[in-house]
Amino acid sequence: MEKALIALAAALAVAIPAMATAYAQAKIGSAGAGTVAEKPETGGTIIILEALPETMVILGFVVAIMIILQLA
Amino acid sequence: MIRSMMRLSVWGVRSRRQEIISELFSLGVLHLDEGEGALRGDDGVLNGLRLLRGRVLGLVEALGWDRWETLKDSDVDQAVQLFSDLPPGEFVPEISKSLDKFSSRLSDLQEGLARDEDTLSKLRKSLDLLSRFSAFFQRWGDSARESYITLWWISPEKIPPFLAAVQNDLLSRGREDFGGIDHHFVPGREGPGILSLRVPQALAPGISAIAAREKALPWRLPECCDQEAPASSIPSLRGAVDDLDLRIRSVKKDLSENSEEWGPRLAALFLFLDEKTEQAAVEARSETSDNFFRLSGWIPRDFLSATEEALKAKFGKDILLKCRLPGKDEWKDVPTALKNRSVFAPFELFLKLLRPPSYTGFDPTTAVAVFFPFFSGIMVGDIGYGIIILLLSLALKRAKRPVLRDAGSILLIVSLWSILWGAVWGEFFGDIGHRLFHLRPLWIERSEGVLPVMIFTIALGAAHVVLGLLIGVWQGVKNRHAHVWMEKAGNLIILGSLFGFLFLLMSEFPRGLFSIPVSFLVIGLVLLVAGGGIGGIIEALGSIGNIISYVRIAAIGLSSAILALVASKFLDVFGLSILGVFLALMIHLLNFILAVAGSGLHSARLHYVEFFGKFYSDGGKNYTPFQRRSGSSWKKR
Amino acid sequence: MTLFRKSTTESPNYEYLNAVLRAKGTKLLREGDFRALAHGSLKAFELFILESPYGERYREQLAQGTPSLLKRLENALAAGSADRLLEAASRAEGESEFFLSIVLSMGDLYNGRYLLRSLSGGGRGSMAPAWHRYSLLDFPFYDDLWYKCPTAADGAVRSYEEYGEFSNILGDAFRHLHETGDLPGSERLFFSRWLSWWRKELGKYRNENGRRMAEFLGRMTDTWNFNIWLRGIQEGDEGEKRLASFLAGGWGLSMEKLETARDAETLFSGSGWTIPVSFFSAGKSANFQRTVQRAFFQWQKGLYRQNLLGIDVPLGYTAMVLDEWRSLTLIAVGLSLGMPPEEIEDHLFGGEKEEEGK
Repeated sequence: MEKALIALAAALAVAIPAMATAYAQAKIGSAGAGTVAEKPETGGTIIILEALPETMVILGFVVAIMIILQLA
Repeated sequence: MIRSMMRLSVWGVRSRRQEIISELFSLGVLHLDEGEGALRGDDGVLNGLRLLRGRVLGLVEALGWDRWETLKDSDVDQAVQLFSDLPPGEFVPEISKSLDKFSSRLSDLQEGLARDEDTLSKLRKSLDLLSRFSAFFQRWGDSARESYITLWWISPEKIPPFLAAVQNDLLSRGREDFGGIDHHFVPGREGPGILSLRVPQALAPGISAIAAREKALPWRLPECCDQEAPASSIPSLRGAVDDLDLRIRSVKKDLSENSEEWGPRLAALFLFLDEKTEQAAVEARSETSDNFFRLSGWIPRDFLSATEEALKAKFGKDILLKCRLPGKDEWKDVPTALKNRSVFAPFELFLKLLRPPSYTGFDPTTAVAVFFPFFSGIMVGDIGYGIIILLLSLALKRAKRPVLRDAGSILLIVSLWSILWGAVWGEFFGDIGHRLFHLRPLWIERSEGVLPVMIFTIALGAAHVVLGLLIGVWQGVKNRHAHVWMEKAGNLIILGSLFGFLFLLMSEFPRGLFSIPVSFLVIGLVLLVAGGGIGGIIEALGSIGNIISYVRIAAIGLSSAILALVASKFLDVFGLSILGVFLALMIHLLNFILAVAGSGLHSARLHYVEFFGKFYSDGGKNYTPFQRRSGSSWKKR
Repeated sequence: MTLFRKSTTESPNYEYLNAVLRAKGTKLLREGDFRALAHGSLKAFELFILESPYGERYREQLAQGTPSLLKRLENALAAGSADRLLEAASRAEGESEFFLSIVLSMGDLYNGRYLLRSLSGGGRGSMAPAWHRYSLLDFPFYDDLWYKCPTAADGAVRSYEEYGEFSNILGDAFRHLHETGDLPGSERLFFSRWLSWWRKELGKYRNENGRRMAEFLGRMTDTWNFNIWLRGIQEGDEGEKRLASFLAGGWGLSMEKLETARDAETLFSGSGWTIPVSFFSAGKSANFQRTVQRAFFQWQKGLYRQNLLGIDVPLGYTAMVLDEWRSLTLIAVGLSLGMPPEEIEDHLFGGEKEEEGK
């Protein structure tokens, strides 16, 4: 039971940030596509803006791995 | 590398101005100053050229011709030869005159077509409506000839009074059989509909007056058939529709033939005029005195001597060239041109998405060429996938478009690293290599040793970020921007002290040594705040986040390795059956696409965000020499 | 007319749409550009237009061989600004598409009103005016009405023949004019039917953006009511007839105030309208309508910087595009009439200085 809970915790640690990132990136992405279409020179800024929320998942992944290592 | 540029001033004899400018155009190396001497609206020749250029392009667009990529330089050269002996002041009116007839014929054709199409749609609408009355028209058979049929726009509530008025009229004429009156109403979407009214011929003269009194408006046939009686007009309407259809088709054919024949010629003429306009604009902008003119701009140092020789050979004493290095106050105006070894040059593609680095900035192409394929290779990390990417890249390198060839060159290096890292992780299409040839990892299996791989990638990230910061410090020192180098150096020292803490924590050294990283931390903080203020502290925290961000290399690699294992599992479950092999192949295909796209995107992101963020300054201007626009850049202006 | 049919099912794409429009907005001309053009020559203006975003439409005019320079410019400007608005609308999805179709159908309102007035005044020149080409009904329809329908009855029949909602509304207005000869009455009928059609459709959107659009329609109603009120004050036209001319559903000017207020200051106090202070003291009544119209435009333009993830940005953008069209046309006409630059500037920014004092 405890193992299952730990596994669930690891899964949630990735899943929740992933959903949040997906939501944010969808919004930023569509705004970015609109901006770049009109002003290609803003490409660099848009890449950075688009990449920002991704950190959440990476941190989530690290946390999940830590949790799983607890399990092992 | 950013090319070293020279400031070149060209002094010429005024009488040869046009020739010299034309030669500079064909040499195509000089990046002219923007807006040197703003364009005045009063240069007659130039304005004539600009208008004519617009008109010719307008004709090309009106013809609907858009196959610019099929035009060749030779097409333009033909046009150049045709008019090259004449100065613009003479050929502009000539071309303009010869276009008059063509353009009036074209606009006649197009206006006629628009008119016909409009009439056709009106005819169709009328036909559609009349067909809803056809049963009503036929209801009375042959006796229809004795009656008078009209159609009216009328609101439904006004129909009864209208009919009553008509009957009253009939009564007043001493006839009491209302049998001769009949009507049919087709309601509109909202508001009025159409009423068809049939009355004995005797009532025909008075019906309009009654209708006007009863607020009914006449429904009319389209202009072409308005002499007909509505009830009998359906066949002639059909005939008119067919005729128009035929005519429209023939005009369209005529137009498309015109487009085929004249499109490319006019497009070539446009390009010729465009060149002439560009040259005339440069002429108009040049500083000109009674006998001389002067033009200046930027030229890459390595092109300088060849250009000087070419100009001297052609114009001899009629031209004087002066060149010098840019001064410090001019750095912001110097355009940026990149030059890299042929192995690295394809990676300049990565800078196309950004504004170019400033002239005194740093061209990171070489660093990208080293790290991008390396990171991608770690993520793909499969000998089998690597071989497929290799084949793909060899195919791409033969492509026509330069962008694709560059992509091929980039993929080639990625594939080599993928194969190498495949050997390190011991993967050949997942564990197939292990099953078939007892392939063993040189270091570790990714799906087993998650933690070591993660630590390895974080170490890589630290190295990459530190490299970025070092470049930043160097940039700051080189350009004497104290706040830049202080901030970057502070950042570096803080990172260094954190590494020191970690090292001390994990080692057996005495705790007293902690004072060393602490003192470094303080120095770093001071530098950081001095250089970047409070923003600098956030920047430093960001750097730690940036390093952790490199864990994605491990994460994506891990998912790729596990997906490949899943593919093999299908073979275990279904055996060597068609279904098993098919499913395994599908998973591998999916994994391959994810691996290539994912590794490329994430590796690029690590460069754009984590690496470039430490030093890249994008204040540069692109080097755009004065020359004929070529190939795909032959776009409409 | 089918433009907004599918819009109720899709989700709106404000992030994308507004990013595009904000980027496009940076390419619109600024006050300095207008001033520079006003100080230049007509030739320079022509070349400027040729190499501007209106260039494609100007080239079209050159290729067609439109002989008059002013006509070429006016046509190109009308077509170019319509292109911008239609492109903006084509990028919208979901409710934003529907909301933008309300804005586009303002073009139908302007065109229809123009046609009605031209019939009544008898002042229909040989050339059609530059239509608001972004209208939901195609502009050749308006050309037809202008060139082929010399009477209100013809206009009504031609409008009904389009078989559409808005053409029917226009047809009814024509018919009203035909039957009664009452121009203000037919204009009122036209506008009120137009308003009630959109209000009915707008009722489905009960969110912040829907409320903004309701405000938009409400403010339009206010400007209408203000004009009626003004006429009443100026002509001493009181009583039942004037009261009946007011339209319900105004945003800031209540019916009660419209009935009782005797001066503009009382009328606008606490109405939520930002009207320049000097407007109330100035005696130049001719400018009253223009000032209120301008205040409406300024409000709409100001939305460009409000809610970045709502309909505000598109509303602001469309006002800016229309304003640029109006200004460029003004400059073209002024230059071709040989007006001194200061006079053109006065027409362009006449009220601007007064408004700074608000």
